[in-house]
Amino acid sequence: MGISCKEHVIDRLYRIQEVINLLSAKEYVTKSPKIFLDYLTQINSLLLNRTLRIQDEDEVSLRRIENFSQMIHFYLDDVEHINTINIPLELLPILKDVLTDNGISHHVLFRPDTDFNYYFVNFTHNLKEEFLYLGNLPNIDLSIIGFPLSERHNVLLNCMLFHELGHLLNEELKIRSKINTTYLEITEKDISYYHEVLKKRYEQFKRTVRIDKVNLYDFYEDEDAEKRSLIEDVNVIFSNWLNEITSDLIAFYYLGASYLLSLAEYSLVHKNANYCTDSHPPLFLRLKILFKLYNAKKHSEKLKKYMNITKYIAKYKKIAKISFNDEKELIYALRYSIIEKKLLNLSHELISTLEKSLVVKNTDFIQIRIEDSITSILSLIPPVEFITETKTIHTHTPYTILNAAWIVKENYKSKLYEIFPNNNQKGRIVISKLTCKALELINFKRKMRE
Amino acid sequence: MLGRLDEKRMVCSFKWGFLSDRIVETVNDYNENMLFSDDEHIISSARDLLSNILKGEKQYADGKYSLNALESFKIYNRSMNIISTEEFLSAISHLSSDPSIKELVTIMDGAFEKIMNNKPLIGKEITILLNFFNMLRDLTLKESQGVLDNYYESRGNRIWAYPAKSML
Repeated sequence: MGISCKEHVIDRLYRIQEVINLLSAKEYVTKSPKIFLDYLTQINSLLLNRTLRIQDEDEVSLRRIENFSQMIHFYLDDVEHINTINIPLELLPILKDVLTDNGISHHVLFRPDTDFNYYFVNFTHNLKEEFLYLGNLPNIDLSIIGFPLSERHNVLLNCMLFHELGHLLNEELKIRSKINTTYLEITEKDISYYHEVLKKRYEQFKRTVRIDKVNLYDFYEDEDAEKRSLIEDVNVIFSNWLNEITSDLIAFYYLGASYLLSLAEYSLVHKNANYCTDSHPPLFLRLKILFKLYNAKKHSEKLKKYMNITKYIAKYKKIAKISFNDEKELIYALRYSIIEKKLLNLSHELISTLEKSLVVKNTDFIQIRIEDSITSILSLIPPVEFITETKTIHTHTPYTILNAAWIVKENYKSKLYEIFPNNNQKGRIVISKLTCKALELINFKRKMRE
Repeated sequence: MLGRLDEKRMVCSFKWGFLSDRIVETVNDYNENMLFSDDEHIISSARDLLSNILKGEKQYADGKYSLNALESFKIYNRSMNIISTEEFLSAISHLSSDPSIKELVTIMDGAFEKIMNNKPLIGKEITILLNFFNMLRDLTLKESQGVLDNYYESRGNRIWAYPAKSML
């Protein structure tokens, strides 16, 4: 590090505090940003106290604090971007209800991002772990959910926010601890299979190319280290993919088909169905497991009258038939096929655990009243209320409205073209606006009743 | 904003990193007959970390790797990477040849127990403790720095004021 590195780190922490103070002076539409900024102040203070205790020549400790101060920069950037016009306010009450129904008291910061992505960070949980040995942090719970800024008004695509909320529910309800541990194990046999296949491939390669002097073990500096690294990687990927699939299932429990359709639209526009990373399973695997719940809840029966939706579902079911076993020739697929098999074995137990753990008040999204919602939207009226045969007025649920909006978007395209003949996109934008307006009015009515 | 996976990677690196920084400080302070009141908590946490290393080793030996015990496997993996380096083996070569992880953990745990009971440490204990935890400090710092470097590199067409890897 450079000259007076300790002074440099201290200066940086003081400047960070100045920015926190400036952001704290702004007004925000929810309490979460200021709670977040107070929390950052506490973190900064602990880092400062720690820095003051460090001996000048201890570069490692100082670099570590410097690295962490970069993280605080990222968090400050999050708060900087929050203002009222950028937050999907219409969805906040529904998301909050889900948390309240499940007995979770947790602040959530919604962060519009320039990255075209949705994400979740359990901010205080991560920090409590990282700061275990630096001092005590306040006992509050706060998470960050990010969404694409350009989609702020796209309430239909923003059904993806329920997936991110699913991560929070997954952690707070400790879903994993309720699953039989046998399902959560990867065994030596699974890992050895991968090694054996690699060795066979090497033998085939050697015969084909005839490089007699090359030895498999030349590629392994330390075979034991390679094996340990593989075990850790496979477990980390299994853990990450399990979290994603759990969140998918949770979102589906709350939203039904509207989540399935938003996931498919978001994923297929983004990447192809086979694309996966260490953090996220491929779409085909997510759909494969989602359809188990879809079938269990008999959604096909409820949606069969909507022909276009049924066609989309059939297309997604075809995608769901893909498997990593189809790509056995590819080395990367071997690792993932171990995890695919584990997740499929575990899926029934996972669904059963979620069934017992989640509080889901609205269990019938596609009911007879959805037609009233659909008719309202097609008449360019926000679908807020319906009148029963006995002439009583009732309010639609947010979930019915979201499902109705997706049905109109995908099933009534020709009707939308009739209404907006010269502008195909306008119809979709109008559906979104009507849905947002309906959700705002429902929330307003609720507040009036309280 | 750092990605979710990157943040998760950072959690263990910072947690073990901050802990090992404090452990090395505490051992050095103890040698100079100074201990602070919160050092007891650090020593207790250090012993928990050692216990996790052995849990990870047990998983490896049993051939069953549980998601619920992933953290213990991770710290075991890093510990094995440390003790199998030439640097570590050279540093303790005069004390022990080809030690097992279990032997080393037993020595380190014994040393921490002595600290808790205000007993003096012997040279072997201090050497193993300081070498192991200093290397864990370096390893965890490299991991967190690596995540930050990858983040900056992944930001595509930006031209950074400093090349990511050489920032400070």
